[in-house]
Amino acid sequence: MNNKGIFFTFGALFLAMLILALSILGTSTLNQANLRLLEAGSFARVYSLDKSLQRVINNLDEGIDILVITNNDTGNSNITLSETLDTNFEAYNTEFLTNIENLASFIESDEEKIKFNLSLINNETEKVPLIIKPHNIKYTHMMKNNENFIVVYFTESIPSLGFDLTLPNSQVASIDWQNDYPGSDVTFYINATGQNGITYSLEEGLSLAEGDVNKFKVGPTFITVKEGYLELDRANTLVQSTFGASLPYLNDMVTVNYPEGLYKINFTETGIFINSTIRVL
Amino acid sequence: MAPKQSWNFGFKDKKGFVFTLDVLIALVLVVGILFTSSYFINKKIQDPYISLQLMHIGSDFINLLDNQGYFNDINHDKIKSYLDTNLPSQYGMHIQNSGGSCVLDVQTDTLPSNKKIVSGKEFFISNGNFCSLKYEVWLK
Repeated sequence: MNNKGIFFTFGALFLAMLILALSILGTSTLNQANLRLLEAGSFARVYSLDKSLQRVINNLDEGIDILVITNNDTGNSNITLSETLDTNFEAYNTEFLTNIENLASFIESDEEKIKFNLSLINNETEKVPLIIKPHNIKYTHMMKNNENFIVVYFTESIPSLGFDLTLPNSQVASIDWQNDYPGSDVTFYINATGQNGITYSLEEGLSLAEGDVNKFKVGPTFITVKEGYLELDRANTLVQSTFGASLPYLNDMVTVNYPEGLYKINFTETGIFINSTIRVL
Repeated sequence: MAPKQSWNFGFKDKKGFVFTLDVLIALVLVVGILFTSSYFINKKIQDPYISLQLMHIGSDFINLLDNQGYFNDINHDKIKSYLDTNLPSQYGMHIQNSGGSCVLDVQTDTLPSNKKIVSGKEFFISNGNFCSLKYEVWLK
């Protein structure tokens, strides 16, 4: 009978401890939520910085006109990349490359957490590569025999690809097929126009089996097509070229990008690291 | 010999009741502290939501101004007029150049002294010059 008080005491003590434990748990949870929200704030700041830098780079003219037309029903796209090559490799796209060098030096001095790696778009053998995603096609400019070649690397199967070329007057007399490997892996086309307006066209089903090399001579230029590889040797001639390809739908929209990692943002104190993927289109 | 006086205020033989009362008072104190602290924690935790929203508003407006060409040839009056027209009335904004050779300083209202101000940084091109700006946004 006399033990009633002590039971009350222990009961109340237990209740107090329970409330204390719950309050510690609640405080800890709230603190964690607070930390997550602060992290979200840091992410928002860095995201905003990254997007603005992408916008600035996007506004620099890389001298290549890009067009993507997508069929809404099938999701298939046609892409074209057009440019006029009138210089050798050394002097190719100097204005754009100088602009982006100036931008990189401004950004790195203004924001020390951002570092550029311009060798990805300008080095001794390659300039201004563009990556077409999700197909992982690389459209680039390579130095070969001290000339500037347009080279397209592709891994996925492309139903149709080719070039539209405009060459100096009287330079197009025909399109000559140098090798004879007919097949049906890919539809390859060339439309070549002289400045006199006369156009020669070719459309063939080519085999792109291992070892097969298809070569074409168009005026002074040469086009090579083989497995995963397409190359235009313009033979130091002023050539207006448009590379085109039909791209099957691969569960994602077609984008054209600079190589990944052109710049990196590293905020070590907040643990935020961004390896840039800059969309050109 | 007189019996020893005990300070139990008439609660003689009711030790348990006194202990219980003691614990209940402690409980009231703990609950009080708990409510007070949760009030302050909640007050603090609400703040980042507002900050995030302010930052998004600021970033969106810089994006809009840039995409509509207001930074190509900077005209302070035009930028202020755009912000006065389009920025929701409950927000205030200040945009100022922070790097590069551009001159930019536009403010929609007086900076408050007792309100949370959220800031961010962005890059832009003006007349071929690379610049950076700092924006500040607050709730009026």
